[in-house]
Amino acid sequence: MEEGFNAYRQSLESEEQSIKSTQSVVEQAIAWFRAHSMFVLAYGTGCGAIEMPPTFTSRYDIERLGVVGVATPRQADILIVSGYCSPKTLKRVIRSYEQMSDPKYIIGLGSCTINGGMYWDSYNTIKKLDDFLPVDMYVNGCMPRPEALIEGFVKLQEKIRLNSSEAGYIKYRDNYAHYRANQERLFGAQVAPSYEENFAGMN
Amino acid sequence: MVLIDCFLMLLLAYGFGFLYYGLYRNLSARVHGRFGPSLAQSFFDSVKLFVKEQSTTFGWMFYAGPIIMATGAVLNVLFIPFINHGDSLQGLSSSANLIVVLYLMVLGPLGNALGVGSNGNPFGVMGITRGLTRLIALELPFYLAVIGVMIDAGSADFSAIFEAQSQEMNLLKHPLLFMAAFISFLGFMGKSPFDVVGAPQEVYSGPATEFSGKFFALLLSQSAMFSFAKLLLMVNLFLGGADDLGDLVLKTFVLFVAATFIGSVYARFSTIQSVEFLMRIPTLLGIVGLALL
Amino acid sequence: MLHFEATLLGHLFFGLSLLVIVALLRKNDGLWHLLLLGSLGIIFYASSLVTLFIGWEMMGWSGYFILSKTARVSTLQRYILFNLGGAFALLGAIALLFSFMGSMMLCDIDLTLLPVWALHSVSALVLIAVFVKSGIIGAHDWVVDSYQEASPLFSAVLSAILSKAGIYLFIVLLLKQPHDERVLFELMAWLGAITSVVATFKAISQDEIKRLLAYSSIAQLGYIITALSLMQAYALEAALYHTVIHTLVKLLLFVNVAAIMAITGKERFSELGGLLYRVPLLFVLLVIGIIALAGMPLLGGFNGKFLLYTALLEEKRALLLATVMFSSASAFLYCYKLVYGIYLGQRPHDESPLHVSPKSYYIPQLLSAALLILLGFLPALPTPLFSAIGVEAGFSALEFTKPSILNSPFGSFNGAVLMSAFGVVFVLILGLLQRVHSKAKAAQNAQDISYCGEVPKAGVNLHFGYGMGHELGRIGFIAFILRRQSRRFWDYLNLIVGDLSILLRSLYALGTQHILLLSLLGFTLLLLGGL
Repeated sequence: MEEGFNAYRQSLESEEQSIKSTQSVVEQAIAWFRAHSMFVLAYGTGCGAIEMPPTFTSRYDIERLGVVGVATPRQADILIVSGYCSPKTLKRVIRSYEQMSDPKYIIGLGSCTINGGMYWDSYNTIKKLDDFLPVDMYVNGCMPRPEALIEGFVKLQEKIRLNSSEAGYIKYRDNYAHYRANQERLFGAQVAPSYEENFAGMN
Repeated sequence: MVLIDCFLMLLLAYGFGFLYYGLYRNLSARVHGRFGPSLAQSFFDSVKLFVKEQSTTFGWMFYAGPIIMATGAVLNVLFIPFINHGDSLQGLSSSANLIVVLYLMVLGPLGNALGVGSNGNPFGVMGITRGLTRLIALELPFYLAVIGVMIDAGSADFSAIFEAQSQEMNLLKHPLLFMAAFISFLGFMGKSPFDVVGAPQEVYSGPATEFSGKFFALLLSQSAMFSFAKLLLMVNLFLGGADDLGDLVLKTFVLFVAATFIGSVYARFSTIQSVEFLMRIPTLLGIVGLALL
Repeated sequence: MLHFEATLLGHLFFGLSLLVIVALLRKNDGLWHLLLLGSLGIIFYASSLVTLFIGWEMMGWSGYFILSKTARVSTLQRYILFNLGGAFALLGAIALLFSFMGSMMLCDIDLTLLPVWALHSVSALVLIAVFVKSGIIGAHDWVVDSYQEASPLFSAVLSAILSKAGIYLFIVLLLKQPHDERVLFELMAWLGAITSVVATFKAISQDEIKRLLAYSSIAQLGYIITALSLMQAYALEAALYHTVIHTLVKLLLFVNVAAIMAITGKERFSELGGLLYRVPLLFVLLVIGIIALAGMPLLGGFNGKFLLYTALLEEKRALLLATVMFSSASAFLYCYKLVYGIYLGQRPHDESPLHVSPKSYYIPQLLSAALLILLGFLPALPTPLFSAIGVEAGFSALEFTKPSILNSPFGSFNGAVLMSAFGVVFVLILGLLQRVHSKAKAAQNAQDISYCGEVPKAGVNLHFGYGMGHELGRIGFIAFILRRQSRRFWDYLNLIVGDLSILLRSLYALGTQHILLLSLLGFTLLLLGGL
């Protein structure tokens, strides 16, 4: 078995080719447009928020990739959860995510979204964002540099172009009961209204 | 024949609208010291939004709002002649005149305001209120300038306005009126410092708050066309109209670049600041310009 | 002895009155309404000044009796005082005219025969009557309260026709002016324009719906007054056109508001909201009304404004035109407030049950909406009539080619093309939008709004119809306008008159010998003057 970056890249490309061969030209075009225009709702939940301004402004200029910040979840395609989430924040994050239109993706920024990071024994932060919301792309680090975030975007772009059925929003739609149960366990009576009706007529 | 003409005008407005939108993002990126996205980025955005799987709607009025807005923009393109002579690229401009066009410019936004109001989001209505309040002051200097142009031409018809500028364009004849109109024009184009309507931080992007997917896509497309229509209007009123397509591109481009550069370096005025500013300096410029007429 | 003569102008105004009153006729106060209609008939068909004055007086007190059913005493007093003042001014003008003409017949009046001072006095006196009736700023004190306190349907009558009587009076008595004496009319033009600006800003700041409509009525009459003051053919057409449109629009809007008040029992923006999907037809009708009121193209409302603007342009009155256009642009704000405050946004939380609105409310609205749409489609439809009226008044005939093309000296436009282009483009875009891949998904409920990630809780006010326009109060120039109140002036006048009466009364209290002495003194002075 070959090793190294090139081998990894080739394996990705062959996978890409096999998926693409199953798609029609229109689907591929749509996926291309989706990958090249990403509206981001940057939710500054934790310290990761400090890495986003340089990413968006002159120093790193992520607008080159077609990534633009928007203010409201209605227009956003990508939700960045930047760092640790206290339950209080998470409630708003979930609400925001649910109001986004499909297809939608989540980038978990920083180690805290993966396993709690340095807040692993905190009584007031969640440990694994994926229990509550389907994360499409993790950007590891504490804190990850803007370069890492850009790398995350590029990887996510590839994922979007594949238009795979493993996208987070499809997982969320199909396994809503699971996510909802986790949310209810965390928030108890204060959980936000269910969004299940939204999936009626979809698929 | 007229239909083909209209279709061509729409196509041009659509193409140039998105090109200028892309250029705007690029140029302001350069001002910020960035590279900016590709030129076609705004087009990609609008296509992507059109093919979003979902778009949230709040009922038929919400659905109709962006359509009325887009209809207003399209009508503006159709009723403003592109070329200052001949029969081609005139659209329906012979059936209307400058006053009709000025009022058509407000029809679309008012229709959209109904859509925004119907979704029940207070931020949207805050944006609309800001917009309408700003409009009060924005229109005053613009009207002063337009009145000067119309009195000078002796008619509200575009052909007469072109005729009056055949020797010397209004920009040179009435520089004060042009300045008054240009400051208002910055506001009409949503450029800083008069871009308080859709402030993303304070009012959650204002009127556009609840628009998602295809509705937002329609709003983006119409705003590209509408911006081009406004550029055209300014070119027709003050730069003597365009002699041919090349002239059209050149004149709109110059005006557009000027607006972009000014817009990129200013901070945002609050509603009250912009009203008070517009009611003072540009209005005074307009009145003095009228007095010199 | 009453003298009548049928003129086209009379037909126009009486036709409008007939339309409004018949559309609003109800069983319980039908008698008074018919009396009002009769008095309007006397005014509009009068051929002598005496007949005109009798009609004027009848109109005043029949309105008073209808108003007295609902209004407070102070409002009634203000109504009758202002209207009597106007009527006395009219009487003075009539007396002056008679003393110079020697005839009471309207057809004998020739203002060119009057000396300059008499011309000015007659004009000023008639203008006072006109201004009081139209509620021009300064004399508008009675208008707002009366409109607010009248029953909703009678507000429609007050706004749609009674305010137009002044316009008729002006056209009949003052339009044939010798053209070199224009100072008074210059003043009148600016008064009209300033009225429209001030009333527009006042309208924006109102919380009660009917007060907003009352101020908007005043503002619209300001345009008409400005148009009339120009005294030329197209300006007369503008004034008449705007009169027709304003009658239709105010009929529609007041009946619409009456229907809303019947359904909800509320009359403030702060108590209403979110009725759009409960009464969609009323919403659509109101939208038609406000588009016409704001003077947007497509509907008839634009035509009157277009003619006014072109007439002002023809006269090269740039600043006046800018003022009028400024007020017209500001009017968008109250138009939007009207529709947002009642129909859009969220329902208020103290939601009380809705009543069913009587079907009869829909008829006048549908009628005037249909007429407004028709006038939008065929803007020059009434031009031949206006032209003939202009010819009666001594102006040249207006240019008329096709009903769909409205001509003016400063350009023309084709309403049919405008309207059909709008329709076609709208349908095309609607079709495209429905074809695209994206699925429209209904929001879950009214609380499903993007609200910074929050779920809005019950009790949070998400509707601020009454807060709209409050920003204006912080803008220096507009705040200055909003602070001015003509009420203060009249109160001050009241105070002075009171003081003067005390002074006068002190004469009575002087004692007999002083009074005798004073009368002797007066008598001597008179004698000396006579010698």
